[in-house]
Amino acid sequence: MNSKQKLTIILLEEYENVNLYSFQFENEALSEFEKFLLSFKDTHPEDIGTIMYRLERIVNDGVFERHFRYAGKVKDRTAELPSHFETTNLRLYCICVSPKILILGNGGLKSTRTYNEDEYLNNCVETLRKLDFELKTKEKSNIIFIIDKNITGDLSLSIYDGK
Amino acid sequence: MEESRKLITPEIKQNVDFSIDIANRIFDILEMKKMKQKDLAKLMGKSEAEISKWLKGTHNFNIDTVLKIQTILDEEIIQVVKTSKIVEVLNWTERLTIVVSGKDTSVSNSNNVEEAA
Repeated sequence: MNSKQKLTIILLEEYENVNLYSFQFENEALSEFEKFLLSFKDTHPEDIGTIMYRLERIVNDGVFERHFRYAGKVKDRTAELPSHFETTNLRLYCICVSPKILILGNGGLKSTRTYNEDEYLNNCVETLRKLDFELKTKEKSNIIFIIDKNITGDLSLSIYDGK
Repeated sequence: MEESRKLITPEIKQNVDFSIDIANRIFDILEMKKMKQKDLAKLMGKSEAEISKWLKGTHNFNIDTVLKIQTILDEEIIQVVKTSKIVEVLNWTERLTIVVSGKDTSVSNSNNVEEAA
């Protein structure tokens, strides 16, 4: 049986050229990106500092695809932001919606060769893939609108466990 | 997020800026020369995946690699700041004051400059 998870896309920070979004599950107090920061800021301060500064560059320069490593399947926009010269293992997963919109998800320490081999990281990426799919579906149905750097409309979505 | 932003140190800024700026510069040169990543890969004797990694702005470039890319693309990627020197050159007909700064040396009488330097 497939269980349903309800979530809401939320605007984290607004900049001149780029908006940063995340998403929050129903009955949870923090967004997935805030949970990521909270999990690693004390144990991996340099990595979190690097990710925060890379995001600062992204909001100033634009969301360039070449600065990310694609993490999902061919047709989705799920990507990985490595923390520091790819020499440490902290990974943040996100959706590059457009050159002006980035949805930040959760992530963690990669200790396996691929994220798929790690149940937690795989779940982070799968959640983003499902969110991306729902986002595209609702955009096609004119329920969600992506205009310039804004995501508007009904931002409450449901994703389902299982494939 | 504000709490996490406090973890950005000057060293982090310098490292991230350096790698992203080099990656962006290489990308811009490739675009300017209408070259693809695979063209640079072939010229460098590297895989396309390696070049793609360089352009992510997370690669820790060493000087040899940057110099090789500069030579292959025939474009400057990084500039080294040199200390400016005032070289006074005396010519029997005129007195010239020449500022030597990097490669922007505007000299009309090269023999005199070589002697003075």
